[in-house]
Amino acid sequence: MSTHSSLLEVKNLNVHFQTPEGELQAVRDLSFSLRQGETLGVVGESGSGKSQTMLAMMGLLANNARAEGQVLFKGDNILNLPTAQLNQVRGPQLAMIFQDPMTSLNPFLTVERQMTEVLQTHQNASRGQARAAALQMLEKLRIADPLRCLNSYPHQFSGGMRQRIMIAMALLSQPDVLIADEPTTALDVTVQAQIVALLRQLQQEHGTSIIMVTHDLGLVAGLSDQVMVMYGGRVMEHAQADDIFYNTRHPYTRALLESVPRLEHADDALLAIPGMPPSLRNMPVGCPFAPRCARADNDCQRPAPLSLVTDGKPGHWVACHHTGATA
Amino acid sequence: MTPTAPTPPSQQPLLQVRDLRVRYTVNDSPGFWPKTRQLEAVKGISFDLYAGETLGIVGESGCGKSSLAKALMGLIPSQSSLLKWFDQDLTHTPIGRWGAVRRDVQMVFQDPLSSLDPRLNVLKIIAEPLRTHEPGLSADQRKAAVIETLIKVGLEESMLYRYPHELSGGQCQRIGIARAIILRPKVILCDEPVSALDVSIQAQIIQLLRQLQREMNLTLVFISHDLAVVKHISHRVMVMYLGTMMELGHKDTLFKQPAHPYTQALLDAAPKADPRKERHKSFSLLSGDIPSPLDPPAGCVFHTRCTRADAQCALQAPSFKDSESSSYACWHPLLNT
Repeated sequence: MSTHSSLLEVKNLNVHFQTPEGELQAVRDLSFSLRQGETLGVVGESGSGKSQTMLAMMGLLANNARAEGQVLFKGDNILNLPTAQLNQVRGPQLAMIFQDPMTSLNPFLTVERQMTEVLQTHQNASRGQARAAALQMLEKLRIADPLRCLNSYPHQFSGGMRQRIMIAMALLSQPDVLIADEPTTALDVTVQAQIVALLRQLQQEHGTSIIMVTHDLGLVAGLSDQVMVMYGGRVMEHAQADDIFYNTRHPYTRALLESVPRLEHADDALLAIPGMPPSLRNMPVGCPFAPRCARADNDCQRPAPLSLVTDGKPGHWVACHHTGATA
Repeated sequence: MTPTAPTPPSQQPLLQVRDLRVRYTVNDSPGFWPKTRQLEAVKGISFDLYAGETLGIVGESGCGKSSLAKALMGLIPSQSSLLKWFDQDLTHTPIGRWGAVRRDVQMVFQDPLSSLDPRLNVLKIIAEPLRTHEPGLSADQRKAAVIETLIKVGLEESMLYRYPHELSGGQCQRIGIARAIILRPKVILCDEPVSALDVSIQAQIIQLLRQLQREMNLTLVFISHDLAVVKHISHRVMVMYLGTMMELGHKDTLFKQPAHPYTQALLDAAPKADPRKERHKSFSLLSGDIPSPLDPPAGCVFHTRCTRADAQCALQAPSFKDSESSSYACWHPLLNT
């Protein structure tokens, strides 16, 4: 599914963890490509490997982890690059908004010190220039009283404010690719809508490519061009956003769409998925979703390869033995 | 499985609240010397709660919904002109002397892991309310009651001697629910019970709460910032903003025909799993942040973000109008649109 002009291309990414109980695999054979100005939504529950994929791309995996495969950014493989070289890429060109706004900011440093670090390090901006840029970005994110905000410490803010500061920080260097790992999980719907609008506006102004990692399919609906659904470290379905929502092929994608309470649904339409997401320690040998899937049979005891939907639109990939009809 | 609304007007409410206020004393000084101020987190809320119903409370963070729940539980002091649980007038009773009410009103908390004591195993966590309220029970009787409750919330007996850190978020929340129902309470206050859970687990917990409500004839107060979740479980819904009640009504009317512009704004902001509609959504409706509760706007608290606000809204707060199906506090309700 590679395209000629892709900005970021991930090929056969695998992430393993060395643990006392043996080796665990968090991400299996993951590939995707992202063009300039495009948005990829990555959807999955906790433990699906979506965050580890992003951390692997940023070279931020834990010490006991090992990533294999290729992450091509502007044609260069940045996977397992030495830190000094990687630092030329991550931050100024490849920025990330982390999931937890409570713990991702340094409690000992003022917001100004943390925000301007990227400009002072990578663009040799003076303190005054960096401060002005930070101020402007905070205003753009509609933070009340940005001057006071710069001189404050993280603990003085609510979760929503901290998350907006994180976003402002990532946007300061105007990155080519912005990885947003659950950027709005801790926020209210109104703030969430504002942040989605902001990301969209940013994309139109600067042509930024966005990878939006979330567990909420509704959040990626309006923002994404393509959507990748992950489960148990594997890609379950990967297609253009419209095909994911209107031409769903994988039973897990279908279940996700049905188990999330929606305003537009009738009240009895809520269908829970039985059981729990599998843990990495006892991952099913076959399709990871098989133990919770209503359509599972003997075929599902072996993993389903990710393959093109035969009668679907181009670029619609699904990993399921039962893709004959719409799920 | 649509919940039917059991609120005949003749019925005596389980809970009557009139003009409930919660105040915190906060230090508002940036310097060395403290300067205390009063922060009014809940400003005069009045409502009734009827047996067997689910009352949903929605609002953005900082709107006072958790303070309201804590005040109703008697976990924090509050002032009101009337606070009556099950015919017991507690308006002037200090929270230390609520006694038997505590037994009949239980709470389920937001963060499933941190609301369980990490040093107690599942048996001890769930048995704790029994130790307090039924000290006469023998250890065996307590254990039998715990096992019965565990099964009721969909867990197995093998869990008894596990510790919270060994359990998943969904399992922890089920234990939080088991701890709340073991005394067979009449009312459970759920403060964001599903917002910390995975999406596929969320639906399981919502269905569990609904099922327990049917089996045990529970009355639920369900607090959430997620309108869709509230819509799926509630009979009536209260919308709060900056400590004030904006709208209170039956679910059907409130979601189909909201009267208050704030309710409409919340509905518009909720993401929908429909890319064709979402792409063309305009976000013009609600801008800015929720104002600081230390310095709330004069007049209608929502007027600084409201699209329909005019001079009157800034001057005078609208009183709460009670109509047949829905009640709201707004000068310019959206009734004919």
